[in-house]
Amino acid sequence: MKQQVSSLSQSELVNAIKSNNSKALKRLYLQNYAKLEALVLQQGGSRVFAKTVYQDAFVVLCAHIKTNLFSPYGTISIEAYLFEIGKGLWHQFIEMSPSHANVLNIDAAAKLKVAPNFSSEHYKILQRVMINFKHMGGPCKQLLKDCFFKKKTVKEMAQEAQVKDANIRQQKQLCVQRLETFMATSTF
Amino acid sequence: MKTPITISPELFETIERYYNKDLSSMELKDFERLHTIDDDFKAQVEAVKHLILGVELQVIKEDLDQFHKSVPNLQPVVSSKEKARFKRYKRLAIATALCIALGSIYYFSTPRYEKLYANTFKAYPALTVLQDTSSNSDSEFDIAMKAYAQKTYASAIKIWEQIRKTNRQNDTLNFYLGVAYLANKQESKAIPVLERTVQAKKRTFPLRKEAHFYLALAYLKLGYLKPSKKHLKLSGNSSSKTLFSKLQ
Repeated sequence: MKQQVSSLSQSELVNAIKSNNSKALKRLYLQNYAKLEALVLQQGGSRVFAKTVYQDAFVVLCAHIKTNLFSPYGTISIEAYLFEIGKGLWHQFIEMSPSHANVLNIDAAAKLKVAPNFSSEHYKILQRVMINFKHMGGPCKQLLKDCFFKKKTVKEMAQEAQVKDANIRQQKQLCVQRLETFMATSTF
Repeated sequence: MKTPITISPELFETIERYYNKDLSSMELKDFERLHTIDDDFKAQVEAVKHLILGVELQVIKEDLDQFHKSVPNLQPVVSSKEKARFKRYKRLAIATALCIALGSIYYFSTPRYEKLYANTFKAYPALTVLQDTSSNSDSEFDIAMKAYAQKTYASAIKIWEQIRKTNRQNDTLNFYLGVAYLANKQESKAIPVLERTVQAKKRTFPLRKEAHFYLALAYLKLGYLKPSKKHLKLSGNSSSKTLFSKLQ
C-alpha cells in the first residue's frame, strides 16, 4: 500500500484494517489520538488514561470492522466511529469508579451501544483467545502471528524457514492445539 | 470455549481461507451451503474465526504501544493574541511568580488535594477488643484489631487479608481493612474494599457513612475529585460536609 493513509478512501481503509496493514493501522492510530486525548484531558483525565482508553477503542474498532459490525458507508466515518467508541469508553470509565479500571478492556465494549448485534459472549471468547495468545510466547506465538496476522501461507513460511511445507503445516497444527489447550485449561 | 472443538488441519485451512476470502467461487458456494445446513460445521467455523480474530486483535494491541511512541508531545495551543498579552505582562508575571515561589515553596510542593487529604485523614478508632474469657487467645480478627490500634497497619492488613479470602462480605472487616490501607498509604488498595462496604446490599452497617467518608478520602488522595465529592455527599457526616465545602 503505497498510498498515504490520509488519502485512503473509507473502503480502502476498511480493507487495510482487515488485512492488518501495519502502516495504515499506525497512521490511523496517530491521526486520531489527539482528539480523544484533548477530550480526556479536558474532562479531568490524564494522558495515561487517554492512552489506555484510546488503545482499547482502537482494538474495538478493528474488531468491529473485521467482523463487519461497522461499515463506514452510512453516516459516520471510521475516524468518527473510533472517537465515539473512545468517548463511550471514557464516559463509562468516569461514571464508574477508578477502582473498576479493569473495565478498560475489550469486554467493556460489549456494553456499548455501538454494537448491539455483537453479543458479550463473542467478546468473552475473543478476550480468552487474546489473553491466552498474549501469554503463549516462544516460536508458536510467532508462527501463529505469521499465519493469522501477517496472512503468510504455509508455502511462504516453509520457503523462509527452508523446510518442507509438511513441517510447517504440522507445527501450525500443534501450535493451534496448544493455544486451544491453554484456553481450555488456563484461569485467564 | 472450555472444550476445544476438534477440527482437522485440512478443514482448519479451508475455514482459514474462507476467513481470508481466498476461496474460489465454487468452493465458497459449497462452503456456504454446508454452513447453512450443518450446525456442527457452523460451530467449527465460528471457533476458527474467533481464534484467528483473537490472534489478530492481540497482535494489534501489542503493536499499539510501539505506535504510541510516535505520538507527538502535544502542547496546549496558545493563540497569537494570548501570546501578545503574555509578552506584555511577562516581566511582571515573572517577578510575581518568583515572589510567590520563594515565599511558598513548601506549600506548593504538595498538590492541593493531597494537602487536604493529609489535613483531614485520621484513622478511625479501633474497635475495643474484648478478651474472650472462655478462651486463652484472641481471634485472628482481634489480633489484627490490636495491631491496628497500635498503628502497625501492615500487620493488621496482612491478617485481615487472610481472613478476607474466606469472608469477603464482612462489612466491618472491609471497613477496617480499607482504613488500614489508607493509613498505610495504599490508597488504591483501599478503594475496592471500601467500595464493597458501601455497595453491600444490606444497608444496616452502622459505619456506612464513615465508609463513604474514607472512600471519598481515598479518591481525593488519588486526585479523583468527582467520585470523592459523590461519596462525601453520600456520607453526609460533619467531617464530610466540611471537606466538601473546601472542595468547592
